[in-house]
Amino acid sequence: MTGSRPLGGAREATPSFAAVAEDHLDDVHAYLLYFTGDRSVAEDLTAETFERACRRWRRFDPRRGSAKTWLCQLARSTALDHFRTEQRRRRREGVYALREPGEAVEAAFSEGFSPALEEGLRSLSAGEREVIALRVILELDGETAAHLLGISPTACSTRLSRALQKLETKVRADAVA
Amino acid sequence: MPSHNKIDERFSDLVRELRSGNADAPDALRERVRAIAAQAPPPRPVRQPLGERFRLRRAVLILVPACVVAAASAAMLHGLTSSGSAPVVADKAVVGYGGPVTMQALKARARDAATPPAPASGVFGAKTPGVAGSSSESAAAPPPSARYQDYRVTMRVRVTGLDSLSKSVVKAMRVTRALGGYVANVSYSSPNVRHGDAVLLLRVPIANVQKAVLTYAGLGALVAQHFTVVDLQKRYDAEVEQLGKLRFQIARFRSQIENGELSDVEKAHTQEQLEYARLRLLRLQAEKRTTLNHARLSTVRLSLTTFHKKQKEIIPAVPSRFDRMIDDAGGVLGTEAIWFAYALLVAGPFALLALLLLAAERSRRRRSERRLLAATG
Repeated sequence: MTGSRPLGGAREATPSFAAVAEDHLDDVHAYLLYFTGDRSVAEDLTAETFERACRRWRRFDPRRGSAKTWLCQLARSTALDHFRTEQRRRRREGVYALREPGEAVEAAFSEGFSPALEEGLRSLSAGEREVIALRVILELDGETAAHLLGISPTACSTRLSRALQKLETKVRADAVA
Repeated sequence: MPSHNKIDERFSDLVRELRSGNADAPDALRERVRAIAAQAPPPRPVRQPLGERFRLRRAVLILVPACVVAAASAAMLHGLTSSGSAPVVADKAVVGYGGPVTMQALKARARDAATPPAPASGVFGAKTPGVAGSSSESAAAPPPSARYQDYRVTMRVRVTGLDSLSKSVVKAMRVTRALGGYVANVSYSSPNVRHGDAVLLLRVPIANVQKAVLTYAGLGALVAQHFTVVDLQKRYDAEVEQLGKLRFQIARFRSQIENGELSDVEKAHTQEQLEYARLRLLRLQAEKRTTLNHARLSTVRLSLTTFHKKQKEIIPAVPSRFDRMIDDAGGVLGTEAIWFAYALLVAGPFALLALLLLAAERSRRRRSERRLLAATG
C-alpha cells in the first residue's frame, strides 16, 4: 500500500512541478476517470487540475500532505465544480442524460475490464466510484482517503464496503444474465 | 495496521480485477500536461512566508503564554516603577487617621494633597511618644496655604492630674472660641480619682490653626501629633466651573422656553431639562458650601490624658517597597483580568455564533456535496 503521508518533521527538498506531474498524472487521470465515468471529461478535468496545480504550486507544502493527495484534492474540487455546472445546465435546459437501455457499453474505465464490471461501475454513483478509486485504484490508506473526502475513516471504510458490495452484486447479476 | 486501512477479504477478487485494469493517461493528455508543467514556477524557496509559518494552532500555542507573560510582566513593571514613587512624608501625614489604608488610597490622597510651603521634616510627620518634646515649642502645624485645603490635626497631650485635665479642657474650649472656632464634641472620662481622659473635637479657622496647635500643645506634654492636608482647590474649581455651566444651561433653557418657538412637546422636554438643571444647581451649590466649610475650618482632635502608660502607636506600618510593588502589580493584574473577562463576555457570543455558522455552512456544503455525488451517475 502506498504511503501517502510524509514523514513527520522531515524537511525534504520540494521536487519540481514537472516531476510531480509526470509521477502522478496517471493517478489523477485514473481518479477522475472513475469519479466522472467519462473518459473525455476525465481528460479535460485532468488537464484543468494540472493547470490549477501549476498556478498554486508555490502554495504546496510537502509537510502537510503528499503531492499525490494534494493533486487529488485539486482534482476533486475541479470535478465537483464540473458536476455542479452540469447539474445547473441540466436544470436550466431540462435535459436528463439518460442512456438508452439498449445502447452498447463502451469501455470507459479500462480496456481490460469485462463488460459486466464496466456496467457495474457505471451503475454506481460518482461518490461510490470515488471511494473505490481512492482506496482500490490509487491505494491510498483509509485515513488519507477519509481526509480527502472530508469524512471520518470509519465512514470511509463503510462507504467503500457498501460500494464494493453493490458492485459485486451487480457484476454477479450481469454474469448470471 | 488500523482496521479501516484493510479492504474486506470478501472483495479480494473484485479488487484484484479492478487493479488489473489500465487507466493510464493517454499520450495526448500527457503532452498537454507536460506543456502546462513547463510553465510552472520554480519550487518554493526553503523559507516560507510568515503567514504560512504561523499557522493558527502554533500561533495560539505561542501567543497565549506570551500574552500571559506580557500581562504579568507589565503588572510587575508597573508595580516596580510606581512602588518607589509614593512620597513617604505624605504617607506619614495621611496615615494619622484611621486604620489600614490601601496603597491606592494613600497615593490618591498624597497626589491630591497640596504640599505645604517648606515645612520642617519633623513637623509634618508623626511625633511618637518619647520623641516629642514636652513643651509647646515642639508642636507646630504646617502653615495654611492660599489654596483651599482640608486641614486635620490629631494631638495627644499628657497633663499631670485630674485637676489639670479639667482645667486644660476648659482652656482648650475657651481658646478655640477665642480663635473664632467652635467645639464640635467633648468626651470626658475619669475611671478613678487619679486618672482621666478627655477627647475634644475642635473646629478652628484655618488662619488660626497654627496658633491653636501651639496653645493646645502648651496644655501639657505633647505625646503625639499628626497632620493631614488634602487639597480641595481642584474640587472647588471643578464645582465652580460646573456651576457656571449649569447657570448657562439654565439661562439657555429659559430663553428657549420664553421665545415661544418650541412646539408643545419640545417645550415640555425643555422644561423638564430646566427643572433637572435647577436641581443639579442646588445640589452643587450645597456641595460647594460643604467644600468651603471644610476649607475654612480645620479639624483638631485633641486628646488629653493623665495616664503615663505608653500609648499604642496608632500609625500602621508603612508598607515596604516590595509590599507596595506586589499591591500595585496585583491591582494591575486585577484590572487586566477584568478587561479580559469583559472582552470575553462581549466577544464570546459573537465568536460562538461565528463558529456555529461556520459549522452549519460546512455541514450544508457536505450535504449538498453528498447529494450531488449520489445524483451523479
